[in-house]
Amino acid sequence: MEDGEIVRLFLARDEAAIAATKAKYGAVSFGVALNILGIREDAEETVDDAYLSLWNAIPPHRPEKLMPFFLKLVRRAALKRRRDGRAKKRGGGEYALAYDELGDVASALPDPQSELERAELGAAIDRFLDTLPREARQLFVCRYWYMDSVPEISRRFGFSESKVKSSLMRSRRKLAAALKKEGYFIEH
Amino acid sequence: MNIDTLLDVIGDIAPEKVAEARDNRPKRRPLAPRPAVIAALLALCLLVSVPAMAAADVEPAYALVYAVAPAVAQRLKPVRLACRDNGIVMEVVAAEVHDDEANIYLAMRDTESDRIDATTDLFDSYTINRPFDMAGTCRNVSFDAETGTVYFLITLNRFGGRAITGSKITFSAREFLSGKEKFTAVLDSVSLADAPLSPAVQPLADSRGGSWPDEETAPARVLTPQAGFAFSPTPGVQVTAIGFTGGQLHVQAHFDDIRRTDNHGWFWLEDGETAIDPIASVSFWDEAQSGAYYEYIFDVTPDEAARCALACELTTSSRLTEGNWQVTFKVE
Repeated sequence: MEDGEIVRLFLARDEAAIAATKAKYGAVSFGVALNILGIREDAEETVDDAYLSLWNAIPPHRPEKLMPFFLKLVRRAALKRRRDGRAKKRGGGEYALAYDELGDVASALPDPQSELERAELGAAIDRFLDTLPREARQLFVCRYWYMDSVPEISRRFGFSESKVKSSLMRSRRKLAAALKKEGYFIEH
Repeated sequence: MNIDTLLDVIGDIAPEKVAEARDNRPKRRPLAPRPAVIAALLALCLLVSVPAMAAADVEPAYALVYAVAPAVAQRLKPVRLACRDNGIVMEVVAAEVHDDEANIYLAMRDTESDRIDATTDLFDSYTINRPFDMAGTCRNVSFDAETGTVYFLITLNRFGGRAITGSKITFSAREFLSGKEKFTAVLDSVSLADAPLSPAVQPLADSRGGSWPDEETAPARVLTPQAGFAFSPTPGVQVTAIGFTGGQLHVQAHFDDIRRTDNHGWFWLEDGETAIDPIASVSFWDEAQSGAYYEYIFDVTPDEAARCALACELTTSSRLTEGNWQVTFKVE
């Protein structure tokens, strides 16, 4: 079923919309939640909660592309669950590794003082991603948005793990340089 | 900034970029054995003596069937076929088939010690025998510390869009790595300011390949490992030589026993503000043909190198376990 048809089901308040979303995006959404939480039960509960959030979000939203819209809800919910300590146990896994990798970039950035500053930072990161070659951008998003493991990214793209790691490292450094150029870095 | 905040902000990138990251199929080289080879492989599978499992010996991760993926739970069917060798039990737990794609959940656990951990990697030693052309992947998806069980997800995509249902699949593995560790550090004890300007060099021999910008810059000579220099940042890896040759800084490292450890890594320079990647790298076998040298080449002058520190990210493995694990099952 096309995304447009599923969204129309949501707008018509037809519960078949949930089943259709599950059939089309259940596996990938579970994967995102599992990457962050590391525990199947927690991931399953998070995705189930996200279906309800999706039901409440459409309407008023009318996303053109349902997958990124839904996955954003799942990702946000999984991160919140992990940070709130509601996860059954704190699995390490890919979240912890990706978290550590971003440490150098985060430590040199000031905390956004308002939603506007946060939105501006998000736009700056988006602009930065536009400057990357497509493959490098895909690897970056797979690692730090989807929280895919390096071996999984390696197999998905047919690259060696070393190539994936070096690409991610270069992208992190370029991100830091781009944000510094836009004036986001704290001067020590 | 709190790293959590940065992760949240990254979460708000444009939806097109989120979709684009999933806009590719697995690029694993298609496996397409010829019909005669298929027949031979199937015959071999039947002839190989695999220690059979008594029903009482099997402790299937049956609960996994209902916990792995809610979207496919209704199609997930238990398989519960297992084998044991060298004290390791391998079980095909469950499978889910949807037209030309199959997801198969595999579990492995150690009944004798703790050779399996969260880093367990099948080290590309697995094979998937089946009577059709396909692309397949296998990845570590979870580790249950309480039972010492690692779970793998095998995904098969049959070419041509034809259904996989009814096909007989044999999954085999002959070894796995565990005890993997990642080491990342700036190596302050390596002084790039003291890098020799005329180090001993040798012709590149027993090359394992590498990467360089163009054929004109392909390395023809590499450093000779410097006696007494070897510095080991982490077990299994040594920095064996540094020096300038051809106007460029070369940093040489040795990775022990790579056929049995998959030890690998990357080196770069840190000048306090930015990181400088190598412009080229080359690898060659050591004398025993068991370990490998990697030489990383940087386009910096001696003065520039003197202001830098050497940094690395290394992955090593401490354990290789061998065995003969094989399960044949029908995809329903």
